[in-house]
Amino acid sequence: MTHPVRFHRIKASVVAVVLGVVMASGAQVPSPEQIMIQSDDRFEGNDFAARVKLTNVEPDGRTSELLLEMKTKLREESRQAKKHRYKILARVLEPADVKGLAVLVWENVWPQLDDIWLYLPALKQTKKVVPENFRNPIFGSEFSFEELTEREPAKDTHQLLKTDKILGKDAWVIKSISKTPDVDGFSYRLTWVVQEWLMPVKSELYDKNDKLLKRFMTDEAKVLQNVPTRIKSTAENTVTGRKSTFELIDPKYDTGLSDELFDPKNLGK
Amino acid sequence: MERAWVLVLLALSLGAEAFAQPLETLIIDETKTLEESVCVELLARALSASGFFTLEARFDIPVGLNPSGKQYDLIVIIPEQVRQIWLVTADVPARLPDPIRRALLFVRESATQVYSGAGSCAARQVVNVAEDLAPALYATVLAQSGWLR
Repeated sequence: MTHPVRFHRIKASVVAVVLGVVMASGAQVPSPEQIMIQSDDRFEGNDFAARVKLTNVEPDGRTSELLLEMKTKLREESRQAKKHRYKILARVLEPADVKGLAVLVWENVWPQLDDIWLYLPALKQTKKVVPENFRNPIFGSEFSFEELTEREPAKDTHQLLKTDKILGKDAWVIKSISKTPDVDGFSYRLTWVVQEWLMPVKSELYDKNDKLLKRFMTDEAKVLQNVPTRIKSTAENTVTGRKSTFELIDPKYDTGLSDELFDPKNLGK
Repeated sequence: MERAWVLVLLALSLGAEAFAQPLETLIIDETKTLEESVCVELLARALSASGFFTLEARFDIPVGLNPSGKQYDLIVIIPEQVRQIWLVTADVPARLPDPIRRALLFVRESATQVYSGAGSCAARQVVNVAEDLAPALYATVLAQSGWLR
C-alpha cells in the first residue's frame, strides 16, 4: 500500500540496480507491471526526517501554506521481503489553527489497507481512521493520498508506451489504465519513471476523452545519502487552474529514529 | 467575515458569567475518515479557544448508565452518516438558563462556520433538541443514563 509521503521520500532501490544491470546487458526491458511494482516497493532509507512546506496557489493568485514535520521509519518486517513499507508520522507545525494535529500511517502490503491514526489536540484524543477515499485531497491541497504516494499498481493495468528524457535522465513512460475509473475520477494515467532511480517523477491523469485533468511534476530531485529524493513537486489541476507545491526542507536519512515515535499510543506526547 | 463578527459579539455577550463556570461539554465524534476528523478538531478548537467550554471527547454514543457519574451541560454529536451536528441538552433551549442558551448559540455559529461548505469541510446542518428528532431522542436517552444534567 501507499502513504502520504512516499511521493517525496524516496527509495534507492536494490531492484533499480538489478534492473539497470539488466538494461545495460541488453536484456529485455522489464514489464510495465514489474516497473510499477518495483518502484512501489523500493527502499527509501532506514528512516527519514524533514520539514515539509505545502503551498496552495488559487487560480486568483491567493496562497496558503502549511508547515509539517515529517518522519518515517522502515518496517523491519518488510525489509526481508524487499517490499519496503514504512511507518510515517506527519505533525502540523503551522498554521496555528491546526498546529499539533498529527497523522501516523503504517503502510501495509496490498491488499491489506494501511493503518492510519490521527491525533486531535483539541480533543486530546488519538483515533484510528478508515483508510478510504485515497482520492480525497490531503490538507486542502491538490495532492490526494494517492498522488502524494504512489498508487497501488494492482489498481491499474499497465502498458509501456515509450522511453523519454526527463530531469536529464532516461525514463520509461507507462500508461496505467484504471480498473475502477468511476471510483477514481480518471480513466488513465501516464507516469514517467526514471530508469536509474526506479522512481516516478511525473504523472498526468486523463479522462476517457483524453482530456488532461491533473499533472504532477517533480521540479527538483537529488540523490541524498544514496537515496534519490524528490525535493520539490507541483500538482496542477488543469481544469480549475489550482496548484499545490510540496517542498522538503532539510531532509535527512538514517538519523536513528526510535520506534516509540511511531507508536499510536505516543502520538499525543 | 460577517460570521466572525457574530462570534465576537456572541463571545462578548457570554461575558464573565460564562467564563466563571465553563460549560462541561462532551464532543462525540462518530466520523471515521481523516478529513471529517480534522473538521471536528477545528470545531473543538473554536470552542476551546473561547474559554466558555471545558471539552471532553469520545468516539461513540454511550449506551447504558454513565459509569463515571460525570454529567455534561451539553453534548455535541457529529454523526458519521447524517450531514448534521446535534446539539444535545437536557431541555429545549428556551427553557435553559441564559448562559447555556448563549453558549449554544456560540456552538451553533462556530459549527456553522466550520461546516459552511465553503472550506475543506463539507456542509453540515446544526440542529438542537427543539429542531430535530435525533438530538431530542438522544437527549432523553443520555439524560436518563446520567450523561446530561
